[in-house]
Amino acid sequence: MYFPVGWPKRVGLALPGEGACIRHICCDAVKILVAAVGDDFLGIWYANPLIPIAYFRRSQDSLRQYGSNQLIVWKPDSRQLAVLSAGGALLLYQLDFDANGSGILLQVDPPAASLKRDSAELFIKENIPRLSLRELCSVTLGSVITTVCCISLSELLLATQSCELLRLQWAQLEQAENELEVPALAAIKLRDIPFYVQQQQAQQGSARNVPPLSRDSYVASLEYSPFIGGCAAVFSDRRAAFLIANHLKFETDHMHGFWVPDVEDASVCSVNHKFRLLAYGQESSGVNVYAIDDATGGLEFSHRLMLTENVLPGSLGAVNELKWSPDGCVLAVSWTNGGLSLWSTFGALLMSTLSWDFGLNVDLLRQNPLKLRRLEWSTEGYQLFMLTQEQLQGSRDKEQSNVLQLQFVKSALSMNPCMTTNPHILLQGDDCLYLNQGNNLERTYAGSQSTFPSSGSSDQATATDSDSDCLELKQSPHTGSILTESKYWTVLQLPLNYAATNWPIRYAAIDADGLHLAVAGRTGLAHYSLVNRRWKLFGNESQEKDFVVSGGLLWWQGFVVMGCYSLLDRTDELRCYPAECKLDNQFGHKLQVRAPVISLNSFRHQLIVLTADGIVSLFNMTKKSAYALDIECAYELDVKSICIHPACIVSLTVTNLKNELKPQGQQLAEQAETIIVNVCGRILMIQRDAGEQVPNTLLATCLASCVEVFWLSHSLERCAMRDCLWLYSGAHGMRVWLPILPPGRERREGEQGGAQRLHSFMSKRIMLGFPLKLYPLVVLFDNVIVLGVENESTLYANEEGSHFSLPFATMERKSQIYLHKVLRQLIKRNLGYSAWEIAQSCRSLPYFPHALELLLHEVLEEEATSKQPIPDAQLPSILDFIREFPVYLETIVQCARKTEIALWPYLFSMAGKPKELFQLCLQSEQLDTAASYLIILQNLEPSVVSKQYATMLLDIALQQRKWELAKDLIRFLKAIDPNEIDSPRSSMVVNVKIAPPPQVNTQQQVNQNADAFNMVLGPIARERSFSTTVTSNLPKDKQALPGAGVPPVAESSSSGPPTVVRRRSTKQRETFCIDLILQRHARQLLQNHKLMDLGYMCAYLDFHLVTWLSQEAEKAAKLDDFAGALLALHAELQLPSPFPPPSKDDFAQLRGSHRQAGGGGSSSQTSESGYFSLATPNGAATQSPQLQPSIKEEEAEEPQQPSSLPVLKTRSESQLSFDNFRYRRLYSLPASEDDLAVDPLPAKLSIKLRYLLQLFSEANCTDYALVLSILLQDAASISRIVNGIIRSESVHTCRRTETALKQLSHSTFEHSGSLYRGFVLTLQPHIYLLEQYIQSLGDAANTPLQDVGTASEQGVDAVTGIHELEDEEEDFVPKSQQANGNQWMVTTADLRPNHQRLTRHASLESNGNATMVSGSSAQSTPTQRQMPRQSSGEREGCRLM
Amino acid sequence: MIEIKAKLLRADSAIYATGERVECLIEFTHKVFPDEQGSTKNRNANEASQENLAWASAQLHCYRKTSYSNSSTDRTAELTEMIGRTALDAVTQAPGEVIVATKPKILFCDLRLQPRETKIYFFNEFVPRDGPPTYRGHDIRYFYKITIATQRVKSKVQTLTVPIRVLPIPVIARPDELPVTVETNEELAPTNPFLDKREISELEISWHHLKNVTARRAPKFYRISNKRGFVGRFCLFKQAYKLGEDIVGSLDFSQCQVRCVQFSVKLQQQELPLRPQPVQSQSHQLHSQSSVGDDVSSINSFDMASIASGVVADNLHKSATSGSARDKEASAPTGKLMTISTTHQVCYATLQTQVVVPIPLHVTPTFRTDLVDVRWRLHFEFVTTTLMDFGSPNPESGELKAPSELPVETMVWNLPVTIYAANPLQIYAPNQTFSLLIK
Repeated sequence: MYFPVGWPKRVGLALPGEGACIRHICCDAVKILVAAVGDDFLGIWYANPLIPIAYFRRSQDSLRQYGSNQLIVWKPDSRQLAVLSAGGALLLYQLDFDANGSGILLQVDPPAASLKRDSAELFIKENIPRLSLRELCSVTLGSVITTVCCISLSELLLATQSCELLRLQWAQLEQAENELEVPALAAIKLRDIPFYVQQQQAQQGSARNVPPLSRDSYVASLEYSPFIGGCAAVFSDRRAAFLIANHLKFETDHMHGFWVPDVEDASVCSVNHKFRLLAYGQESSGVNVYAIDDATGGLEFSHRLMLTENVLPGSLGAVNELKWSPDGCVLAVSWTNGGLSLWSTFGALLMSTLSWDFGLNVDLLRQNPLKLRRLEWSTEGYQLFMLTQEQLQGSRDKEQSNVLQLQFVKSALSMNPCMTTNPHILLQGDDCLYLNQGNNLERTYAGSQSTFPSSGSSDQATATDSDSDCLELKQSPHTGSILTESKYWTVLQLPLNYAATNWPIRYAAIDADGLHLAVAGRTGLAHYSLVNRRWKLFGNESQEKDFVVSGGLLWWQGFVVMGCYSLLDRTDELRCYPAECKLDNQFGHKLQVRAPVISLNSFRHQLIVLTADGIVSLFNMTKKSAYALDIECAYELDVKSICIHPACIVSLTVTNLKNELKPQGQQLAEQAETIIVNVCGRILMIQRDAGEQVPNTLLATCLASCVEVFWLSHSLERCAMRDCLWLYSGAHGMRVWLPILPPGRERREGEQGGAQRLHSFMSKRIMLGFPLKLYPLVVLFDNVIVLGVENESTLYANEEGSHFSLPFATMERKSQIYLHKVLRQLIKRNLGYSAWEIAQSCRSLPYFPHALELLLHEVLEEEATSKQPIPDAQLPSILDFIREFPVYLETIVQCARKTEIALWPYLFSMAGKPKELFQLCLQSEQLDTAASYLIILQNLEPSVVSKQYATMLLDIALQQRKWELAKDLIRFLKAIDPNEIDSPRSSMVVNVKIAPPPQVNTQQQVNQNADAFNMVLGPIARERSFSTTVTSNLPKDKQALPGAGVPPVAESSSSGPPTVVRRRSTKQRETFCIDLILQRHARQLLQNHKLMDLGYMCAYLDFHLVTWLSQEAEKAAKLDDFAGALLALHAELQLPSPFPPPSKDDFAQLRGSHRQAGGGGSSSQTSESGYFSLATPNGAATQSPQLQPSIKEEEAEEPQQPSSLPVLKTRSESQLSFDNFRYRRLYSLPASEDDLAVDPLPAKLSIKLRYLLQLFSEANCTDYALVLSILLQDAASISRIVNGIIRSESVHTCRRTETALKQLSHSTFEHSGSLYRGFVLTLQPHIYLLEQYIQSLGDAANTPLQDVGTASEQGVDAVTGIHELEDEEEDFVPKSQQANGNQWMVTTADLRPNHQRLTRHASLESNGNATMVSGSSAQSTPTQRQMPRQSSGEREGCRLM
Repeated sequence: MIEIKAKLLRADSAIYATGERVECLIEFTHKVFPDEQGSTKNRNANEASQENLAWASAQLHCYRKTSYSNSSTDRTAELTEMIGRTALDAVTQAPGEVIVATKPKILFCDLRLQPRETKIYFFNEFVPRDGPPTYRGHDIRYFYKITIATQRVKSKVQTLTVPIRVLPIPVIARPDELPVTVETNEELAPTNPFLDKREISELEISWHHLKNVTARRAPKFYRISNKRGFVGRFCLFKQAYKLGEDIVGSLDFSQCQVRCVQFSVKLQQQELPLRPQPVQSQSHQLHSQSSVGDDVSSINSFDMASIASGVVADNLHKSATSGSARDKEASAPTGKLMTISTTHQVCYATLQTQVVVPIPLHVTPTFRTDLVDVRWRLHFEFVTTTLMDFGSPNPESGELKAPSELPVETMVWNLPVTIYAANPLQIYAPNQTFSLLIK
């Protein structure tokens, strides 16, 4: 879990002021000093800060004699170094601490104040020792020394070209003065020791030297590990071996070796101590890793590291360097042709530079910028020194250093495995911490919208009005969750005071809530509160310097608990410090332990500690107060028997997880009983026997091997996956060990039933494995998600030659859902019930449907593409499982759409026919899902079928007002190529090969049939045969084949002609059909008076309403019952009923009148929308192309009087000139002032209505135009319509309109509280006008029409009848008076002019209501003026009547 | 006893951008404690059973607390403003001056709760677009709180406050930038009232804009040299950053004439007090500042140390202005400085390295109000030495020891950067529930 950060630094390690190629870098045992050799010099550096201490340059003589420097070996006490030269000699250097010097390279500030340093961090606190370096001696042996390794504190192992191994004391080297023969007391002649191919053969007694060492081969590379008890070696003939001695004294007699099987081209080797692994790099660019078989002591193949991604096979070249990180968690691998990669212990790829983005101009194949020769991990693995290969020539390259230093950040788990219990990703750098908290889910409230743009659901941010601000929620708030982007990394820098002397961070820990952090460096500790963002350091610095944290650091209930070594007392201790107090020993709690703490962990109140003497101690922690706690040892357990060395125990924990779950009642929740230990990657579970007090190591059971990290989900989790053990095993993927509970019902019975029944319901555990794409750092059990970090890279500059042209490494948090993987494994094992239970508990997760989809997809891909027949296909059971969830239909189609078409037949043969699924969607009203199925149908079925279904869906979509969907469907329907309509899907041909695996016998037969058929006839014949059965899909077709027994050849021939015919017909039908549907629906809408829907429909579907309406003007767009239509419209628009029951009295009426005035106001306000029908002042004039001859004179007069005032002087002239513009101006004035308090017709709605009105009038649908005008209370529009009708010279229409208006006014006045009472009054002149006109046309009109007219005339007063006979002038005036006065009463003629003037006056002043009425009446006057002339012209006609 | 609990819906980060909607669930519970329950049993059941609140309202306030002396006219103006305000305002007056307040929203009137009954109310409110961000500086503080006030009949008003953090999203000054973010040319289509146009919120546009501004640009190179010679070359890839991003720069010391022993880079916040000015639209200033930023950089780039030694850091891009910078130096105020993060490297042996300065998520981005101007800068200190070797020539053979002392000189350099807000959802700042007990 190491992740590189940033660019590598380039450092110059040559002598100051020079540039030279560095051959080898080696850190000393404690990683404080770094030694680097060039060809002729050795330099000693301080590791951090990287500052040179001393150099030694060899003389020319020495160089000539022994050759240039090659390899460094440190003595473990850091006092001596041995450098291996190219000539095979060993040069010994002594490093002495110079006590009298005060340090080196102390920076001295100049006297000028402005040039002095003033920041604290610039004063280096680190005390860099002054060291002196001298050459002791040079040692040569009889033969050339090929490699050296250090095997103990005092001993070296040398390999010579004569194939011998020599064990030497460092002291011996010293004594062996210049070029003296070293006494070869411990020379092991490798040619004499037995080599085995496998341990088994040795046991069989066939101790043959198979295959023997070749004559001149020697050990080229060697590494020793005390935990393994032997050496990994690579011979010069590229064979790899493992050398081991029976006991630690390496002697020829007691040694034997193993040839590493299958590795014939080894190049390098490396040993992992902690996990006891041997890694051999190969020429073929792979790395084989072997573990030690405990039973036989031989090698056991563990895994192979092979880079496959972004790499051409064979392009990498040989592995030229392998290095395990100091903690054994990571293996760095580099290749001769360039590239570096990091692998976790058991083979998960963490990072590879070959997948980095180097930019376009870098060809990784030919010239990899990162060609590395040597690698060396620095302190704690935070840096990796990389030596690049020397560039061939070039003046500049000489000066360029070949040392790169790459910075790393590692997971806190690598050092502190007890951190697996918390849900935060914590990474540690050398002086900073990276923290990523929070899961990917953002909680949302169902009724709200998050307004931030990037959260994805912002589109309706403005849709809901802000009125819904404070509402009471009836039940507990329904909060869902949505996926969000990952959170930013929080980077915490270590405080300077601490970091300056305690660099680097060794342990880091965070508490479960993510509020407290603790870090421990070289000495002491510091902790940080994320709440107040403050570090807490030891107040007393000497206390900080007095102890070293070892073994682990953890938080427990506000205390930081650690294992440590006290430098003062020289004892090993457990210490606890409370977070709330000052960090001081007086508040701390100390408990001495016998040996150094290696690892610790806690579970609830229990602390488990492993010490170096191989004892596991269990402590009970009790919190006494906020600042004090008590630790008591419960029991101790010797674990020496289960591990080679306690240091091999990677991690351990205590838990109450059990192999077999006992019923809840018997479980002791407080006392954890099981210890789980990870020994070299093997997970051992040590259980406590029922009767015993202490667990017994003999009862340890091995659960798994190759485990790097493990997590435990405790019973506290919400998810069904409780009490699980999660194991991550690198290349072997993730494994979960989960309990299988009997179905809930049985379980309950089991609990009720006595103990005798218990055992039969005892649940078992099961281990499930699945691969993971990322390296898991955190398992979120509740969210069934794994969080990890991935290495990404960005290219900052493409400056040629600069190392900044390398990619900049960054870290990104990634997550992966594992739910589907677990479900699949469970279903595979016939544990569907458990799977169902788990799935059920995860249903609220936003990605649950996605998980199901993945589940289906994975199985489908696997089974449909498998070459061999699958004995028991999993797909049916998976489908059965998904069917349990309501998202079944959706899941199937989503999955299908993401897979190849070739796999569809297999899927649908199991999941059901797409047509049936489509039908199901329709039944369950999942229209969008159904639409998705159309695409499947389109691909699997003849176009006719998909068309038919699309049409069906279109119908339903229209009915359900899913306009967007309908729009898409129409596009879909129109996109079907008519030529294609009968051609079969090409996919059908492909997928016959991968037909569904047989389930029933008959189907099997079909399969064979189809296959044979395909082979014989080829795809073309097959194609045609499908077109015959138009409606059948694949399975049907197949069944039809054997059933009918018709030879396919005949079928294909017979099917030819009909298709042609159909093609032609459908082509025509194509667009016609859609139009038909749309028209039918539009008609329905119109008939039901659903005008709004009609509006939406034509807006979304590009339906030409005007054209259609003009066709329908005499059919569907006719209205018989105007009042009914108005009523229906009101209902649809959710307005108050126009004709409220009479029980509503004056108040209602008052409100109604207010309402009406408001309506007028809004209409004038919204007129800016452009849909206002009166927008053009002379609209009436332009709209009258066919004027009556009688009006023509008037028309000529009209333009002459535009300047006449609205106040009437001569009533005939001024009324005429009262044009729309003036009307509007006058009219809107009071409305805008007074009627703000009244609720108008909603603005948006009114715009829509006006738009519709425009459409209807354009299409000459006068009936609807009238209704809409009334709804809008737009008198001008009505007058225009009436004019239009009159101009149309159709008695029939006139009569109809007249009837309608009369009917309307009748029903209005029947209901006293009607909204339109006032407005309808203004209509009366129009009715009269129409009547007059009808009368004038009377002779032309036939009797039945008149009958209709008279029949519906009942509502109109007798008054009109009377006035008909009187003089027209006289007759007209009272009517307008009546309208003004707002009452139905006859007034005398002589009063009229004054009265009218008065009314107008009043209305202008205050009364909006009156204004509106008078205005509209005034507005209607021009037509009224016209009418008398007409009627006078046609007086005879009137008289006749 | 009634317990009021307020919990922000956005549990993972109690952080909002200006113009975002704060959503809060407010829970009123009639709490019955076991001991109390015992006593109520004895009493009349009816009397104790119901709890009653007369009203409750919720409101979002932005406060300012400052040590700047406000002009007296302001004071009086405020006092006169106070007259005629409601009682609730007087209550919330306590922590500082209210500078932005939303309209109070009434949650309920006359709430009656049965024992153990709970009622939940949903409060939402837009964070005012023109308010300042949450900021805690030396002399001035801006902070936001949701105030939930309630009152029992015949007792005083009680309030519960829920603090939230507000990040500034600059308002776009030029509305002609708006269509840039519209994907289609819907504008050209005739408007049909039945077609809903997807409206792009102003916040969304600002966010797009912010993304553009903080995108990576062509790198800028700065030559660093002092009177003794060339020290190195610094490269910065962009000038504007979002919270949580790393400021990444590269330093190249190869072919230097003066060795840089160590350097430190500090991210510093500058708080510049402004004289009380007539209120200007803050948004405009926010925007204009980013454009002005470059000019400022040339003025402020060099400070006392480098000048005293006669060192002119040679800025490749600004070489023309660097000479005149010295004269203007005195006039540039530094204001109050706060160092937020520091990176320090000993680069004695380093030839090429990088500077990565993380911008913490808890800081306040660059902003300006009528009282204060908050800016950000990178403060560099380079410790240099002319001693390229160990003071003695490298030997032909034998030992070479490091000298005990190394004469150094320090040069400093300031480079202004602009910091913008980040997406609040990507910041993890869990919030707790706030509660109030009314007895």
